[in-house]
This record gives sequence, C-alpha cells and structure tokens, in this order.
Amino acid sequence: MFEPRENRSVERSCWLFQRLLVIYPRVHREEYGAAILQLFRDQCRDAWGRARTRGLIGFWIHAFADLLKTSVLEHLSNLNRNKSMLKYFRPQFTPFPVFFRIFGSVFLLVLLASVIFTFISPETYRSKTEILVKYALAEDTAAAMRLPDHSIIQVQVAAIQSHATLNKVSQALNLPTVWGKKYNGGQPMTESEVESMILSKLEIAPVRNSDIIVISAYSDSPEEAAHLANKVAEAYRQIRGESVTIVDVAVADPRPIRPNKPLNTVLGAMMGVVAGLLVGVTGAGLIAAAKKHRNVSAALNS
Amino acid sequence: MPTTDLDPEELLPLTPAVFHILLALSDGERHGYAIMQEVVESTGGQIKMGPGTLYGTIKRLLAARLVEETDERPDPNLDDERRRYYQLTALGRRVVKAEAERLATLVKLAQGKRLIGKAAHFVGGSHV
Repeated sequence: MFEPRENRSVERSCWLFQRLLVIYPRVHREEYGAAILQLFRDQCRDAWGRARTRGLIGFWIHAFADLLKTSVLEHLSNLNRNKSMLKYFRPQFTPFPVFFRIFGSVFLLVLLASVIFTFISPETYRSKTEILVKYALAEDTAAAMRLPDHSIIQVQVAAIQSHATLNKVSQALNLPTVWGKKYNGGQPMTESEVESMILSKLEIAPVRNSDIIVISAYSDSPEEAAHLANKVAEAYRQIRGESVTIVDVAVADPRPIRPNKPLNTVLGAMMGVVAGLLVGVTGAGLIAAAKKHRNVSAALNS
Repeated sequence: MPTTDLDPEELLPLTPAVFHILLALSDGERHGYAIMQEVVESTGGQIKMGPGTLYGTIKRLLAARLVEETDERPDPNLDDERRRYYQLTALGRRVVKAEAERLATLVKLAQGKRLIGKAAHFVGGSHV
C-alpha cells in the first residue's frame, strides 16, 4: 500500500527524534517524553505543510538545537535536585568540631580528676636501711646442706618479719600507745594489731648476689619511716647478735614517694587522650546518627 | 506549600517563555501544541519554542504551582487522549497579571521618555 510522502517524512522524523530523546534524564523522559514527541509530530506536520522538505529541514535544525540545550538544562536540574535530596541523608553538621568538643571536654575532665586525686592523696615517705647478715658456721653448714642460697635469704627475711623482731620494735617505739592515738581514737592498740600494721609498712628485700638485706619502711611521716626502718634493723641485730651488721642507717627523706605527681599527671593526660578518643568518636557518631534520623524523618514527613 | 501566601512579585520578572506560556493559558486550558500555536500567533512568529523548551518550562511551572494539569477534555471525541492539558492556577493568574502590570509600567516609563509612541506595539518585551 502506498504511503503518502508527508506521512513517511514526518514518521521518519518522529522515529529519529524519539531515539534522540534518550539524551534527556530518564525521569524527565518518562514524564514528558511522549508529550514532547507528540508536540514534535505536530510541529513537523506544520513545517511540512509550510515548505515541505525545506520546512522540515529548517524545523529539524531548530528542534535539534532545542533538544541539545534543554537536555543540558534538565541534566543540571536533575543534578541539583539530587543534591538537594542528598542533604537529608547527610549529617547536617560537621562531625570534627563536635568530636573535638567532646574529646576536649573528656580529656580535661580526666586530667583534672587525675590532678585533683594526686594532690589530695596522702603523701607517703620511705626510708631504707641495709643490713649485712653473716651466718654462724654451724647454722650455715646446716642451712647450706638443706637449702639453696636464695632460700637461706628467705629464711632471714621471714625472721625479720617474725613476732620476736616486731615485738621488739613495738616496745622500743611505744607503738601501741603512739599508733593508738594516731589510728585508734586514742585507745592503745593490741600487740597483734601493731605487728600487723608494722608489717604493712615494711618491705624487706635481699640484694641479689649478696648477703645484704634492704629494709624499707613506709609512713605518712618521714621521721617515723626512718625510725621504723632503723628499729627493725636494730631489733633483728639484737636477736642475731654479731652476725648482723647495719651497713646503712635510714634517714628521714622529706621527698614523698607517693603520690608521684609528675608521673600521675602524665598518666592522667594519657588516660584523658584515650578516654577522649573513645567518648569523642562514640558521641560524634551517635549525634550524627540522631541528626540523620531526624533529617530523614523530616524529609519523609515533608 | 501554601501558594496563596506567596507574593507574586517574588517571582518576577518572568522569562519570555514563561510569560508567553502563562499568557497563552490565561484564556483557558490548553495542550502543548495549542500553547505553541498561541505563542507563535500572539508574537507574530517572533518567539518559537522547541518541544523541549515548552515542556521543560511547563515542568517548572508545575513545580512552582503556577499551572496545573487537568484531566478534562473540551471534546474527548475530537481530541487525542494522549494530549496533556494545562491551566493556570490562582497563583499563576496573579503572577502573569503582576508581570503584565510590570511590563505596562515599563512601557509607560519608555513613553514618558519618548522612546516609543503611545501606539507602539510590543511583543514579548521586544519592540517590533
């Protein structure tokens, strides 16, 4: 069947234009593609009616330029709309300032707590004395036959911490009364309480590869620490006689060993950094999630 | 978005394409081809919009709620059901009226400066 020339030219133009519509964004094409093609068809017929092929060519030039221009505009418009939608799904705040605010607050809080704790903690002083233990021949022989060297030293350490030694110290320093006033509301302490307390204030350690034993005493008073260490050494020397020699006498050291303020401050700062990082990252993440949730809800409800 | 609260002046000045489309719809609802014909006739062929420009502009007018699509057909038996008809909204009418008044003020200003005569014919903001 013969098809009129007008129909063929217009239909071919429409066929080609329909394929060219692919350069529009898909959303725009789906919404307005059919209407644009319909209008193109109407205008094609008008152009053909005015000047046949020449009119159709002139219209094609105009329509093609229009297609290129508007496709660019639609893509830009689509891009901007996507951006405006994206803002609902992005955190509406910059996370770094929030993180640093949380980090800084936690860091300062931990550091401040550490410094306060350090400066209000009671100070502890230490005094040390050293004794040289010489073993009696019979005892040494028996001990050497039964025990290794380090065990012999351990026996000496145990002897220093024995009731015989501690009782002498307690009596010499009148500790039941003195410590009773200090720790027991003025009431004298019992011998066993005093000996337990002396033990808690003592640290006895042998020096490696020698017969020297270091007796360290701790107290909230440097003088008391020195007296305690010296009296323990003296009491043990009295028990062991000539076999024990005091090689170094304890003296009151005015510098407290606890708390170590510089060390505690550095440790507090390090703990502050760790805690700040943990809380900062967690907090900033939670705030970001909460804001995102609110923005998405707002977007969905709008 | 409540359109009644929107001040038409905020949308001015309109682009020639927008103004002529709104002007074409001021007489009643029209489909795309009819709008195009109206624009060509009213401007003496001075303004010719391609299909992409027309529907791109209509898309923005719909988004701005200056026009709305209508399902009614003047005569369904005589018309292609694929055609889409558009009509002015109340806001669109106020906006096109405000733009026309703005242009009229400009014409008066030009006349006062004797740049144009009283009987001068204006098309799309261009002196023909």
